[in-house]
Amino acid sequence: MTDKIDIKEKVLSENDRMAESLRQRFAGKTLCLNLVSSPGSGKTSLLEKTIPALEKELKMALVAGDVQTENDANRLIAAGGKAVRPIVTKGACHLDARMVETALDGLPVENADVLFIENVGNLVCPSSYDLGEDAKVVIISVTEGDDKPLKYPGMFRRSSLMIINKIDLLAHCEFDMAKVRQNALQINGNLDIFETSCRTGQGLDHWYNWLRQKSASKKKGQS
Amino acid sequence: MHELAIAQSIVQSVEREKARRGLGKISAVGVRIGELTDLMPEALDFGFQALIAEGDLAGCILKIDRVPVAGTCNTCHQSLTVQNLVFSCPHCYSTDLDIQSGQELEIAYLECDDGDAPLPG
Repeated sequence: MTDKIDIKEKVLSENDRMAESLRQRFAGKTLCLNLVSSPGSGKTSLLEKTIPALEKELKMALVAGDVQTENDANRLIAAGGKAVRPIVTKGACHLDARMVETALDGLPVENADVLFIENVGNLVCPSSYDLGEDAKVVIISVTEGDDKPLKYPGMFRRSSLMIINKIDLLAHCEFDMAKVRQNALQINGNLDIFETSCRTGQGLDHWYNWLRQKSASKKKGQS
Repeated sequence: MHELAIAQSIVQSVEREKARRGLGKISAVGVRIGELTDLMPEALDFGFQALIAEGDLAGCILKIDRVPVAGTCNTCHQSLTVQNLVFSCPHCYSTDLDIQSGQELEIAYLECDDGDAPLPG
């Protein structure tokens, strides 16, 4: 005899529970952003620019995930980051909520206006793991293909903002700006899109204003 | 590429349910995987089989049910299935959609052998 037993349980329910407890911890105060991209699109560079630009306005905490090395966390500290924690995943291709909770141990994150979680460079696996964030920010660069949103729809569908970085290199790349926007909006019509160059600083004001607005909304309980 | 980690979570959940409900041998695990989860069924099955090879669950089959991306159009209110990742209504071309499925990643059911099946005939 074979019995069929209904379970209907989320595979990542354990992770989701932990993410929800992180979300409670950040409620009404700390805007939590999960930064995702391919390796080398500019997550760390974006944060290196953001830290000095906004340090007088926003208290920032940062968690930097990497498969090996604490290089990214060290770069964020060198850029002036005061509350920085590395996560070395030792091979795992994504961060999960438990890793973030462990990394935040002893970090007074409740006092921060913004917590940036720099995920492992990967557009597939991190999309399944809720880290308690208010929003995912996906970064791509013009040295990549303009069909990235179509290749990794799960990630672009779940993101709130897409940053197209390295636009100072646009003249040297076969990257169609109109097409990448069209591809991204086909997957997610609600996506905000900014074009930036972390190298020249071009377009970063849009990102800073977005952060200011999201942080203000969070404190008003609107996000 | 994270299929092994997902398979690990499935195995842990199944072992937990097995213990909690005092179940006998589990012959199959049914999972529902949405098309938007970027999971490859073959890799998930491979990871699952590798993890259970020598334990209590050895021999258990993973039955994967793929869930299409589907929902309702907020403009013309007709139901729709998203084809080829075009998130616009096939009826009125609106992009204002309420997507209700496609992100699933859940254990739907377990199939258990109670071990005392009556002999046929």
